[in-house]
Amino acid sequence: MSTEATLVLNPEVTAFVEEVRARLADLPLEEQQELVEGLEADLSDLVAERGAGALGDPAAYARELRQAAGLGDEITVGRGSRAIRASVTAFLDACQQRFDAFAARLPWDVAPVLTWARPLWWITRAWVAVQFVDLALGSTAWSGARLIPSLNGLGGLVLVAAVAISVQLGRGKLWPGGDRGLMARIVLLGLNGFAIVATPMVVAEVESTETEFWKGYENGYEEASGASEMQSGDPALTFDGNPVRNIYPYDAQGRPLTGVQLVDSSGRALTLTNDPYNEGTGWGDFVLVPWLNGKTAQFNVFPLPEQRLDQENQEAVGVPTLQSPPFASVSPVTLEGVQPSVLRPGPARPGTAARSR
Amino acid sequence: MDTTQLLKGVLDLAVLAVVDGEDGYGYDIVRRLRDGGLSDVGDASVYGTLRRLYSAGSLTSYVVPSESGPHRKYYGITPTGRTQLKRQRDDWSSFATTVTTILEGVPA
Repeated sequence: MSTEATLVLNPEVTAFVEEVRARLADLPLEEQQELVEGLEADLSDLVAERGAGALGDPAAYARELRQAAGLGDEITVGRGSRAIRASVTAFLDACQQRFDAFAARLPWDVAPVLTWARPLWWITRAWVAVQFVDLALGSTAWSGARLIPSLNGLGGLVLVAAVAISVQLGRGKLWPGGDRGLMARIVLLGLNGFAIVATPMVVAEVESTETEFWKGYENGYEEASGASEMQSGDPALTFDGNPVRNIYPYDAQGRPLTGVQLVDSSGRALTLTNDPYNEGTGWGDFVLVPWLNGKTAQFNVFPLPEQRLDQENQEAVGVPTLQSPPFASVSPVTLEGVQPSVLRPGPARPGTAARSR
Repeated sequence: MDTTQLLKGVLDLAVLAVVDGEDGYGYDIVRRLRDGGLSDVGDASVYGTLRRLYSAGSLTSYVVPSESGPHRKYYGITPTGRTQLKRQRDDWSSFATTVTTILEGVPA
């Protein structure tokens, strides 16, 4: 160890060090301390050797010091703001210290969690950022927000780039990551804060779009396989995915029948629906009128008469009328060993629907 | 000749070499560099370099208190620092040789 002269504290040195320290105020506290710690002693040596004049300009000194230490230039908005910057830096440092103290007090070891939590956050915030841009640009207006952002086809590429940038930020290889200056810290805090706030919103959007998409896929699949979801609450006959509008029975000889009641093998009445669009608007310009068993309406007796629907007040008007069947008669059919039913005309009962010709 | 530009490239190396020889405090290291012939080296540059090397793990530091006057901050070299010193020393050697060769016009 080389011999050192006993140091005498020189007021000029003290003033110089204060000036230099003031220009480091935007740096984190520990950084400031490290830089200034030995400065007084060293500068005292300098003055002892070369006189007080050798001190020079503290501003230039601070600049050279920062540059050699790789700390970036001081952010100067004006002399008055130095105090503001100092207090903001102190505040950020205090928050960081409080967080560190809190983490240290936790009963379990936080370090392994952070090892995977941090990279996961880097990826998440990149995804959120790209999704946000996607939503903001409106390119999701047509298809909704998907899991991989679309961005007019560039989504995948942009996402990869965003993740790369986010990771480099997190590792400190890209500004503002790694820079301990006040401006960098604030920018980084702002970006992270924005990402945190945007995350629930973006996740909600994507989730709603994706569930809709899969539901639509399910529905389409069902329709295609002929088992479409009927929109009305009551069971109703459908054919080829569409609600059946009416049934026109003919007997074995091909003559049209009126008043045929249909049930399936389980005894369920094969009813038609009176409101296929589930909007209370019937079939658009008409409603089906049921046959009656006493007061009970039955929609499984065919054919069902139609009643005109007034478009303005959506009320059924006029007389329920049986429409003409699509064919006056159809080809006769036979079945070996089976005697088909033969219709015997009976007396017309009062209140029956008129038959249109 | 203005050696400032040349110096910037090798200050890390020079500082490491000086500290490797013996631990030192800021001004002491400046003095050794100046005595070694680098009369243009700036104090602030040396201190900044010391701080940067410390952050990178190449140097360790400790404070020696004194009864009268301010404390001194000493720097010492670490194993990482020794590795870096060796590597940069070799790089410098080969670089210097190459440049000298070119200047003398002898094909490399």
